[in-house]
Amino acid sequence: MSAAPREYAYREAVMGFFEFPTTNAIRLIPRGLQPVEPRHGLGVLGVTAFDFERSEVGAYREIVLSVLVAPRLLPGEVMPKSAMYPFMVGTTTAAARRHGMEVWKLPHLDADVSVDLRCDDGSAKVEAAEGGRPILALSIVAPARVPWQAADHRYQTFSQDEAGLYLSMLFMRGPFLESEEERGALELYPHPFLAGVDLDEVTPTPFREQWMRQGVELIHPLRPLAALAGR
Amino acid sequence: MPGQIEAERDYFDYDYSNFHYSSSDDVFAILEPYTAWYDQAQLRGYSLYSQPMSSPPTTRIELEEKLGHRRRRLLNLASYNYLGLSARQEVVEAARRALEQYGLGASGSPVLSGTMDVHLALERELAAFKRKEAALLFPSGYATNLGLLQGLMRPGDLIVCDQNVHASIVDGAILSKADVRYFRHNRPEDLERRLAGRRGKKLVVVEGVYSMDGDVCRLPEIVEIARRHEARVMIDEAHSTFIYGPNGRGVVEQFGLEDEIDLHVGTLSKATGGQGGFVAGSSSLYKYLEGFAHSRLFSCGLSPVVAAGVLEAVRIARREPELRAKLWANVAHIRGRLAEHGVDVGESTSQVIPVMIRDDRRVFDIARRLQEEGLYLQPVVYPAVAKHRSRFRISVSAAHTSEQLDEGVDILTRVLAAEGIL
Repeated sequence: MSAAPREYAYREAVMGFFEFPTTNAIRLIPRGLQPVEPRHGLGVLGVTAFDFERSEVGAYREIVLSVLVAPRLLPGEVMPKSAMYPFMVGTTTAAARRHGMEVWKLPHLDADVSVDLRCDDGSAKVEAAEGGRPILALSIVAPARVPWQAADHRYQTFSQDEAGLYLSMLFMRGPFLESEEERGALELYPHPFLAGVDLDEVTPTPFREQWMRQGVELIHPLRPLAALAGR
Repeated sequence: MPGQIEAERDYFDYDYSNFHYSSSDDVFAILEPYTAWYDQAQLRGYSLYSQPMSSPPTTRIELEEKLGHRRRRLLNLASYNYLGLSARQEVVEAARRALEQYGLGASGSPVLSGTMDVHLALERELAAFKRKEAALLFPSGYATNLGLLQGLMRPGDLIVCDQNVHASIVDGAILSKADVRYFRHNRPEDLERRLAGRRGKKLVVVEGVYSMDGDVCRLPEIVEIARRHEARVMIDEAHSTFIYGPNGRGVVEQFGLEDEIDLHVGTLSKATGGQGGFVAGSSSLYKYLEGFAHSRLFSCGLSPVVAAGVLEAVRIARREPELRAKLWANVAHIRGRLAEHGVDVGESTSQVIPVMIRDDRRVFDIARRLQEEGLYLQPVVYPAVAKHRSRFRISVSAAHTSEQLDEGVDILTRVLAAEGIL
């Protein structure tokens, strides 16, 4: 991890985690990655919306679909809290899209998406659409008795291209709120953004909701997974 | 060196769930980061788990701290000994006599040489108690659910479980290789959604009393939906057998649904204070499971010493309904005292009473303080319960005196007030 990480400052980061069949999760991830199952037969679909206020490609908004996967243990490195494989990203600007594809090798919807993000003290609502076609609506609700807490979470993300799989360390820093009160909701609409997801099989209530505000996302450069093999 | 976790700063960022999944080229790679976390977790409060007890799990216990090695005598509100039978004289005597008669163990699988007359006597007693044709003994409650589901269900079948069912049910369902679905806790309308349009063999699995929240299954609605979708119903009454119903036959008796349930599971480690589990049903079910429930077939039979003790405990539970009455009086008493102080007990309506702390970071400190004040309660945290729903779990026993319950509430409320929880 010698090269400097890239920094993305966000106003809001809204995350919902939903159970869906592991068989569907397996179809969405490359061979070599292992889906996490909170319950037998059920993987985790992560739906994330970011409102970035500062990055090397300016301000933009983004929605990300990911499958939670087993983190890779790396000799001499701190174990991440969890890991994910983002399998579809939508951004509000072409510059952000090019950046995401070139730097992070992430699959993007090849069109601008609109991301309407409305937050108050108690809840956050996200509506994403493309060309007037709705993609998804996500809402999360702040837990009743849990305070915001400073967080510095370490994750791994995976991506791939023709040459193989890549891993990078991702840090999320900032005030953090988390709940498992199952008060949020997700609506998914038929749209190419959701290709490969069995819409009827995604549990519409998140088993976990997370919310971060006024923080920083740091992503370290990609490393080929093949180069990390061995004990 | 495989992955690590950082020191103090990261302790609360991790829990057991973080170490379940990992990928590596070495099977043992997870051991080092797990051990690093585990050692920190012990210092921060996990040492409160598995503290060795040197007395019976009655209302007052003696235990040794895992870290400080101090011996403590504590008021016990943590054990499952609901009817106070674990160390009752007749039970201990029955076990002692069995030890003299049979020796320590069964020394064989129940289907080979590991069945003794005391096992059959216990099975007959349980069948009579549940008013079923037969009851099949298993070596533990865990083995009961595991063997029942693996023994009965097959790939392509459907098992629909309440999302809060015990790990033994989940593991049994996995082992059966059936298609497994979960409905949201105690929400019959979600069960309906999971069953809709499904063909083939279907089994709905619920519990009588849920062990973490102490709430009771909405059995009438669940049975109605299951019947409409031609699904069989299994109920695990680990925490309600001998406790609920006019005759102690469980939540099924309480609701008048005994004949509507297809598979009745009970354990012998809770109200009867011993060990083991059983499935009650038809004699044909007994015969089938005898041949196909692997957790029984390929385990040594329940120790005849335990079987004899449990047999006596079951007989006492049946002939002394006043034990149940005393338990429910105790439950009412402690609930009233907790309510006076405004203690949050969640959704519980049973003898399992969670004391909601809802602060995953502080629950261990509070548990330590309770112990220092003389009260034994176990903290329960994620992933055993949802995040930010940490709690203590009070288990009331018929053996508690009202003075002991008052003492427990006094300690608890004093500590919670000092901690700013009340």
